[in-house]
Amino acid sequence: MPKLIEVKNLKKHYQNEEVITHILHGVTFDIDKGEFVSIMGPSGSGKSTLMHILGFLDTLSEGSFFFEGVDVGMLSGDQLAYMRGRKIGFVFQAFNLLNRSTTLENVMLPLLYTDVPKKERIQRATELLERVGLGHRLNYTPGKLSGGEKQRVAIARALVNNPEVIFADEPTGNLDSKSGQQVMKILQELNDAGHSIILVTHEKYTAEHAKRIIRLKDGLIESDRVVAQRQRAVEGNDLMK
Amino acid sequence: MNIIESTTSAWNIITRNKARSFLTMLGIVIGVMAVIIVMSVGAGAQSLIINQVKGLGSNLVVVLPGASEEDGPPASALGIVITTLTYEDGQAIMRDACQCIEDLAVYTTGNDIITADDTTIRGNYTGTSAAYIDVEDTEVLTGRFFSEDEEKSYATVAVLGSGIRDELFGDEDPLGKRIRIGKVNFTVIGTMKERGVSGFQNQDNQLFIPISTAQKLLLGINHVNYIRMKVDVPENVEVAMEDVRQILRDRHDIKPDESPDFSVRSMAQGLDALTSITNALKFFLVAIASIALVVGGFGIMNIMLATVQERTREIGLRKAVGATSRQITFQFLIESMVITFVGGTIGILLGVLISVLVAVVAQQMGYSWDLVITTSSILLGWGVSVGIGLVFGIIPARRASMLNAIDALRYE
Repeated sequence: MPKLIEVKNLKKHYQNEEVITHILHGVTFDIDKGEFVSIMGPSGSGKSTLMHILGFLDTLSEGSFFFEGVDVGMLSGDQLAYMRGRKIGFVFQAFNLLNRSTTLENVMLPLLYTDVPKKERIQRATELLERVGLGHRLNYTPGKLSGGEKQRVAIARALVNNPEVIFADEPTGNLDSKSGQQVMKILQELNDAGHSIILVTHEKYTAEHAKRIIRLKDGLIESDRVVAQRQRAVEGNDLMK
Repeated sequence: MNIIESTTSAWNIITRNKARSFLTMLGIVIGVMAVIIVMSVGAGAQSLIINQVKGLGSNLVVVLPGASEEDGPPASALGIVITTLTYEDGQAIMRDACQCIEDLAVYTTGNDIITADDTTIRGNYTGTSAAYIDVEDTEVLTGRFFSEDEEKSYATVAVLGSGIRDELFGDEDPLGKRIRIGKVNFTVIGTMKERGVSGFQNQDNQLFIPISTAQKLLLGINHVNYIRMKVDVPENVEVAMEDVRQILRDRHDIKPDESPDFSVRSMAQGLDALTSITNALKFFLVAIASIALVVGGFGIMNIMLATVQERTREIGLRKAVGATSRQITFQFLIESMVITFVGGTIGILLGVLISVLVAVVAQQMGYSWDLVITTSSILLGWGVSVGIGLVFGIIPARRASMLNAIDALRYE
């Protein structure tokens, strides 16, 4: 059985007219199904670029990236869009919800670009919103939700297409600590239920909610080790039913 | 996402910002409205002009002095006086041409001082035949028209058109009264029913006298200005025209290789010529109105480009959750087409409304104005508006689809 993600000597550089900017200088690692990995590093370390490549949003310059045994470097733009729509779910720091659509519509958004019939879309989105504790907010627009609620909507959206892996890019960055705890708790519970999660963060405490931390510095892997003392998000309410 | 869903989603996006969406589609509304109005009013005006001619009777054949190309203007229309067409020509046609010619009248026209009691005006008179009333399909209101005897015998009798009767006599009964045209005294023997404008000549503002009287006593000429005849059925018009040509060639002693000094026209030909002229005018007006549509199209492109800019993050997100470039293009194209379709629909409704108003007002004013709103003009309005949405939506939609998802997600 192929690994979820296999990255070998991955390099990324951008060419802006005459100037070439090197972001990733060659990183190599594997991620198995069901892992919860944090990618950590200061800003400028290349962690966001790495996540964009792993999330099929960006292409690599050199090296190789296999996703479930598929050579991602060989995929066309439309095939990458297909992978984004079916293999992964994104949770962003800035939520990126459509402010004029309801929470239900927001959660259904990824399914718009699949063949899932409308009835099933509504059903799946409703179930997921109930799962993250927002079953009573289906017809709210994001403007009426708190930051924590918005991020829970975003998590529901990331889950709606039954992805292989969830990418969370600084998911607690715009949240107060209580809401942040809620979000991390949900992510941990999802991982407990078998979902693969890749978390990008620059906060050590947040990163330690994962089982493994890959530290990047200046476009190279500085360390890649299992978390010895894992943080467990505790929050009064049991959000996952 | 199928087309129905895309359309409803586009509709939702458009209705969220009603004021802006309306302003966006205003250009298309005005453009489509202008095209519909121009097409309808153009067709109405065309009907008015053609009804004028038809009012003379569609089985009418006209002989004009002077040769002319089939479709060009006759020489007489250019102010050249040709004196070869005579009263006797008319009689010969009646006698020798096919029986299909039911009635024939010769015409000569003049303008002179007309006096009745103490009223003096400058007015037009027509010297014509007794058959005028049958050729022109009209009636007397009071009294009678002059007879064939009077037509030939220089009788000084006059029949007044309704307009000139009002001018000369007001509410008085003019029958039996004396009037003066130039230096000749006439007795009024009848008044005509009101006819309105027909053949581009106000038939009510003139008076009718026997042809011989007009020629000899007033004008001092031997020729006539034109001859009109009524053919029994439209199918015989060609035969009658050929007969008339033959008779007049013989009478005017024109050799087979010479061109004649007269021209024979049928009302049908005239109608064709008029229709082609008015069609050209209509086309021209529609072309001008279409400029508004093009301007509206650029307005839509402008707003759609601004919308793409505004929704950069949304586009980035949609791409991040699996939308292909084609799906993004499609979404924006559908949006611009929904805007133009709605705009077109409003334009069609307003255009039809205004066309109806124009027709009602024109009819109230006594013009024979047909209300013409064709299905094709409505379909054209819709087709063109959606087409504009497509054409002017392509650039914004392409721009949206080419946005880089990462940059778009970070866009502030």
